[in-house]
Amino acid sequence: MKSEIRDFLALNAGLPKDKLSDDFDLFANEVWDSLLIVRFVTFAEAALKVRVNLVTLSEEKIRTIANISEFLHEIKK
Amino acid sequence: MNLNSHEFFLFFTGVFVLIRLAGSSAPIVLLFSSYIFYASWNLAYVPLLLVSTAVDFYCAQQISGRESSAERRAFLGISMAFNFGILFYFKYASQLMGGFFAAPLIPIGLSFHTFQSMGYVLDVYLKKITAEKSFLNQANFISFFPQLIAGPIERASKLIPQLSRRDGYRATTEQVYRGGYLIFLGLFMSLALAENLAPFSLSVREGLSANAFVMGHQPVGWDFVFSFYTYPFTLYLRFAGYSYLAMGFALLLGIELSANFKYPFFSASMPEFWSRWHISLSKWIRDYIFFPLSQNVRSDAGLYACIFLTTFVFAIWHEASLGWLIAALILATYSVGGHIVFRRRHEASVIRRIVGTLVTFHVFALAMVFVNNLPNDQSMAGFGKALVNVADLDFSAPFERHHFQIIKYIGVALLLDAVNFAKKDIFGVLNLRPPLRIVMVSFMILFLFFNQAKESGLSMYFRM
Repeated sequence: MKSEIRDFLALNAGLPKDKLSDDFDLFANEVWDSLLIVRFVTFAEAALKVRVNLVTLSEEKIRTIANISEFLHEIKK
Repeated sequence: MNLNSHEFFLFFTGVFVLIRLAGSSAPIVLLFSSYIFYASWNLAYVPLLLVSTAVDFYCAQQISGRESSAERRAFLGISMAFNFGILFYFKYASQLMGGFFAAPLIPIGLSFHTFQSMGYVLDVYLKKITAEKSFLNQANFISFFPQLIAGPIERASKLIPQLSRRDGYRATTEQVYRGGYLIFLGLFMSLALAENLAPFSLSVREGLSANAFVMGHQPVGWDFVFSFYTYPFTLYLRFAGYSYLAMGFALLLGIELSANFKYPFFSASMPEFWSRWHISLSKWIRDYIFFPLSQNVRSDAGLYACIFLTTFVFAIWHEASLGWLIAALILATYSVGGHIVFRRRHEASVIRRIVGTLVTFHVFALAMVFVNNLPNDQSMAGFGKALVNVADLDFSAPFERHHFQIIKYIGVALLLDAVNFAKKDIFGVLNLRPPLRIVMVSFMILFLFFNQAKESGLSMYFRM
């Protein structure tokens, strides 16, 4: 799942994949903006088959690729 | 009592000593201090703050203690109706309708503490947090005096645990160091820069209707041109300076507040700008309005419609005026444009970033022209008339002394933010290598000493 998340961010934010390590802070490095978060949720639903509730989403859950992966695995369970 | 006034420094010193003496009872002293601070603006504001806190405390308790979603929704509805009712009455009905609806006064900082309180109830409803059991802790959360009148709008999950401490709000040495610097930075931005630029930030109407624009002379074309730049800088430096003061004073009590501004005029696109300007409000609107609106939206057109809607909310939060509505239209259009043409912003070249930064600033400054010239008591016709008079100005007149002063203040503001932007930190100056850090801090101290404005005006943000 991490590689799919990494591919999405590289493609949509224009960052090189090698920079997007598992613990790369996506807020501190200004990767996320509101629209990209919504687009990621749409991507997660379509490609990863995970329904994410934007309303209850917190920044911590999507701060790093590792956090996102853990969060999505939790939902899938 | 402004945070950059002598009175406030005396007040804070007294509160600091009392809190130290109070030990585990410090939260009680803090609450009384916050209410005294609020009453210093006007005693009549105090009951509203108390009632608002009590209503949201009760509603959050009820939401938290019930399983039935209909009942939870009902108490959320009561809280939202109460808060929006207050906002609507004091900020909109009173201003727009007047007469029977006219309120005797608009409580200072109303939008800040109302939004903070609404965020708390919404978080309880969404089960992000549990309802606070102590009325004292919640009352401190809503009324914490350093951020009461001009933010940042904090989240309960961050602030309540800090305010619930019973250690007499002791700060670490590192917090005192950072707090001291932020107080200095806040004074520097507000007193040495913002208040010196403010006299040149007059609206077209004020500038031209006054017999003398500044310093007793007739306005010339350059005054008009410069006001385009001075107003956004004055707005930013005042509000950011005030936010840094709030953060600094809170840090001296060992309380961490969120940074509300991060060098916004170095943003290469509007989405980036919103992540650096009035950050706490942008995040509030993102989490409680934009995300719920866009939860089931899948098309780009739908998402762009959500951006327009949320930008209008941002504008209305400031003021229900034609100026803010036009500004929202400009900013939302540019936001959507930025999302379309500047989507992969991290791979942008240096040149593209520079061009993007210049364009973003100028679009924001253009939007602020309408905010500055069309407050809710002004009509478009009046603005148009004032603009016609601009044609009579002498645009061939050379630069005068005060034009160079404006360049000096804006230049220093840009230098400061360039350092912070390069270091990606509002403490950028402190992160410079020792020789440079000493030079920069010494320069700022001397600049503040020789350029301190005698009076500090009220930012429009205090009226929010």
